[in-house]
Amino acid sequence: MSISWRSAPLDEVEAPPDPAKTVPDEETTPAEDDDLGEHVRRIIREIPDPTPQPGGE
Amino acid sequence: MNRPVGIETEYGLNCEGFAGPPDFAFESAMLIHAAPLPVAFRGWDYTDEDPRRDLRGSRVDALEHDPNDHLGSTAQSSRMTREELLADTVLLNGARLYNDHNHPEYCTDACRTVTDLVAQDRAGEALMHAAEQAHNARLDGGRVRLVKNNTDYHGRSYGCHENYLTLREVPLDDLVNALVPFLATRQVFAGAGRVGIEGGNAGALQLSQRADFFETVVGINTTTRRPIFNTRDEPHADRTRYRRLHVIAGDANRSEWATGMKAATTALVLDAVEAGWRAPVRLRDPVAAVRQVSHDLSLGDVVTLDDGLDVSPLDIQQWWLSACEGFRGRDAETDWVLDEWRQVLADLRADATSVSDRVDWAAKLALLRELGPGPDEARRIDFGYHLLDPTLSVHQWLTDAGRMRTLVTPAQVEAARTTPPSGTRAAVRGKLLAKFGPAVAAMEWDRVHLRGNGVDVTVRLPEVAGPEIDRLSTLVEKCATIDDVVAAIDAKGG
Repeated sequence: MSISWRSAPLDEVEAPPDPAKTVPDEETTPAEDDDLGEHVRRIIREIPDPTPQPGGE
Repeated sequence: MNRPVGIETEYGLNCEGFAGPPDFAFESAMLIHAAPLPVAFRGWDYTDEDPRRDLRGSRVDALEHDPNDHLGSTAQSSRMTREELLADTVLLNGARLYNDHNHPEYCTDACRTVTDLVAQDRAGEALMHAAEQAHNARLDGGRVRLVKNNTDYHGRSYGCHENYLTLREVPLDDLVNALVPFLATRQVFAGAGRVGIEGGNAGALQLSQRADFFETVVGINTTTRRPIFNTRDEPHADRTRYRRLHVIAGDANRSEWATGMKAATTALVLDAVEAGWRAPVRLRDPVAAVRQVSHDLSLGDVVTLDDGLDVSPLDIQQWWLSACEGFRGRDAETDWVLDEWRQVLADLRADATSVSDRVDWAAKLALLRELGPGPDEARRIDFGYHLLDPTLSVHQWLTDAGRMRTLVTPAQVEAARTTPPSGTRAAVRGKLLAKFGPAVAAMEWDRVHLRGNGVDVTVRLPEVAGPEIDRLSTLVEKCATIDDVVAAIDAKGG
């Protein structure tokens, strides 16, 4: 089966970075004593309720 | 990926504080018009678009619509011109931005690598959030919040579609037989998760945002009687050679890993089918299977095959993965995808929360178990996961906290806002827009019409990638004027 787009140099395609090795930026790393519950709850209090919308596609 | 792939995302509009019922079409269009875009083409050539053409060889008279859809007001949108309402925009990165009836939609151009696809999709999120901020700054009362999800929690769904260039010579039945079981079970790692089941337990988490909204196995409609396998036949390329597989049975992911893997694994399955592999099993009731898989967080034996055997969605994914293992060694990216696919299935068999760093529904599961919220708060956490506003986005918080893996850097996302993906016709269209923006008279996926200084020329792009596109891309790079473009095309017989 001939596929025209295969003529592009696929052997040069690099793999995405290994996400297991991804580390967060230093400035966004939470402190070790960060209280997850309180931190997220602060955000959650400000999240609006979902409002009705039209369907789509 | 061994084929061009794109993702189109309809963003939800959460409207608060308006004096009356929101006019969603108006808000969607005005939000796009407010997007901060230093260079863009405003318009779209609809001449050759025909969403009523069916892959099965027919053409329907009309697409069906849900008569009970929530539409809101039309007081303002009814006074807009067609151009104002559609807000058609083409960006320097080749992406298309427009008002898809009542939702702002960002549609990436075709990408060849996982990294490009994820970066382009994330660039869409960044652009949409910028548009959201600009639009709200202009509002006199009320606020619009953009949400990258697929349901309003009030019975409606909007889509996130994937597009895969496929060969037309592959029998349609073979594509359907391979894709339906795969798409019905892909949600085990590609599901974005949702708190609430349509017509059921409002506080229950399920794997997918969209599972409850699919009603048929194969069909051309998208807004009602949604099919697992959509048969819209708009290749936006050489129709004699290609189909554009328009996958609507997927969620809008926030996880970069899930965005990349849902597309890359689907592309691999298509590679297998084009290489002659045929699906070894069929599902007895695919529509029921989509829901049963989504509703079963234990990932148990809830899928019944046509011979009556009950299997796990992980079993089906494992069989499809095995079929794709034949591509191992093709390139580094393929090996990475196969490794990640194998690993996530193994991790899911052991403990779902072990994939909370890459699978959206599992990230929600882990957080909900940690916080132990009631049903209403669980729904707010779920909804907040998908908000684009980084100050409110639960997903953003998880990412900043190092709990979610990423595939691209912020610099790559920023670059993707103005740089097209490489190796596809996106690069040609992007370069033409960047170099000759004022002379662009019309654009479509497969052509760019330039007009200026007495020159009137259409650059046609019937191939999406390959040597002809690479040649055109190089030519456009060298051209300083439209006359140069004309001369280059004439000289090469383009």
